[in-house]
Amino acid sequence: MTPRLDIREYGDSGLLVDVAHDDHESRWATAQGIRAVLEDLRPPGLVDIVATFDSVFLAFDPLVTDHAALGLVVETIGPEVVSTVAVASPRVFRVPTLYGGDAGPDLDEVASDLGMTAQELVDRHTSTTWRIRFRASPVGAPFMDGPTWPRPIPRLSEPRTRVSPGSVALSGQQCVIYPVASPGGWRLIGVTPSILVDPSGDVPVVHVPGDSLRFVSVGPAEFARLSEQPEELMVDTSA
Amino acid sequence: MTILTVLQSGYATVQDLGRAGRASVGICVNGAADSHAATTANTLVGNRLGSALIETTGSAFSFVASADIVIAVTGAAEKVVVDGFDQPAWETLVVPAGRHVLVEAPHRGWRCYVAINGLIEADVVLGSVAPDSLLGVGTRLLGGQELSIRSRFEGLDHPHTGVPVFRIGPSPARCAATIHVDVTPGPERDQFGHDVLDPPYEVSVSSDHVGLRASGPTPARSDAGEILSRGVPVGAVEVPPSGGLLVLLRGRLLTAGYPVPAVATATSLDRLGQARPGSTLMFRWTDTRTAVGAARDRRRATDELGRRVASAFRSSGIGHVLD
Repeated sequence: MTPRLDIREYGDSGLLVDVAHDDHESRWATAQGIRAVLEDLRPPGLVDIVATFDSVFLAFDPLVTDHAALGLVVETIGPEVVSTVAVASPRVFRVPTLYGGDAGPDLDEVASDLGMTAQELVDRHTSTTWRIRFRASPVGAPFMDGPTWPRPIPRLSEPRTRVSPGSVALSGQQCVIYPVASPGGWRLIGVTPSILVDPSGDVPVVHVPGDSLRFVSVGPAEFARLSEQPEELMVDTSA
Repeated sequence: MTILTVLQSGYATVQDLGRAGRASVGICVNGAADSHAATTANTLVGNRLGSALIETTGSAFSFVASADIVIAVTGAAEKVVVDGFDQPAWETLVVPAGRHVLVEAPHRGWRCYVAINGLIEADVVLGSVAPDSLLGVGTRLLGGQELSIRSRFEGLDHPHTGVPVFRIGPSPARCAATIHVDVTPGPERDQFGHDVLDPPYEVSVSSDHVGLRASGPTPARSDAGEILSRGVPVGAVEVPPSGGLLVLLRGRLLTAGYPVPAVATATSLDRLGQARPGSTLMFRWTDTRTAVGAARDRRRATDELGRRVASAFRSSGIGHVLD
């Protein structure tokens, strides 16, 4: 089955492309494929591309182009073009994480909502390979999905005004790491001392969609040791 | 090198039009909240539209410069006070060295823009000087701080007294206590009643450059389905679970999962950049065609203004300061 694209106006300077397909993996691959093709094509006036799990948001300069012209570009990107866009040798990164306590204040409540113990949730979280589906706010945060929880994990109805950098958080069936301090409404289960972004670099973010993260539970002593000399994400050689 | 010494800073930063084009690495645009006022100020002093300039927020700002400068003050400013005398806002002024320049705290509107001919030296991160609280970058100005400006302007070569004013005559965007926000339908428009956004909303104090929180009725949604995180435009009018509305501004997070019944137009976003706590928002429905037309008309007006500035500068013998 070929994915179907639903292209809609999204404000006077945007288009929203929804990908319809029965398979979650195909929806994501198509959305990311459209992004990759558009990054190569660079149609005039296209300013920004935000490709996520199953949609692509395009921001454009209305002084240069319009909905119809850009929509036509998207329509002419055939599914066959998109399917040829493979992620170049995806990597697996190792993410040491301190779970629970002050590092993960929502761990116990999320576990109990899911009908499991905190340890069971941590075991499930660390035994899963979490695939990075896209990068978004704040500053290159990796949005991942992995296991299917018994039910979606609800966000906080009142987001926290400050989430610490390195916080590992869950929402719905998804996982994210907050690379920098920011407001946030996802449920916090732990903190990693690893550095995810370097704004001073030309390439501020190392991980790309298609890469995966494997979380490794560390104790407070190991966490303190790693925090003293934080390192960038390390490729998991055991994988 | 001209040195501009900040006397009274209030809340002022060095701004430009931000970091467009970096969403794929998760960096949002940010930049001047009222981009029309910012580009007009830059145009009036012969700079490029996206040059660095000073943005003040809800407060007074004053300075002196070590050399004669060409400046323009736009946004919520109704006048510029130079050594105690009122001079026009939204015009090109020549301020001689050592004069005290005061931009008063706005009575209506929230932000003023001070453009100075030349290049303001400030840290450029990923192509922009704009503050980004998530990246932890930006130049906030404080009293006593000195800014270096590289300008080719060396004064008008005819004798003058006072503060020469060029009468370029742009149409100032007047700020009002009630802000009319033109909106086009968002992806979840059909999940809300026909009268959604009809009531007035009030801008809350917890608003910032990420979003305007507006208090008022929480629109009822007919569909309870969760929305997967997806890209959202600046201007999206969200209905968050905490109630009221959240209108996303230029510092918005790139993805969100809240329903979006409407999206503010590009020209309305600049009016929203002048919203202050307590301002009333009145939403009006329009269509994207009309909205794109309005954005294009406005750019044509700015281009025309640039031509008038160039012509006035050349006839005054300062054509060389045009960038």
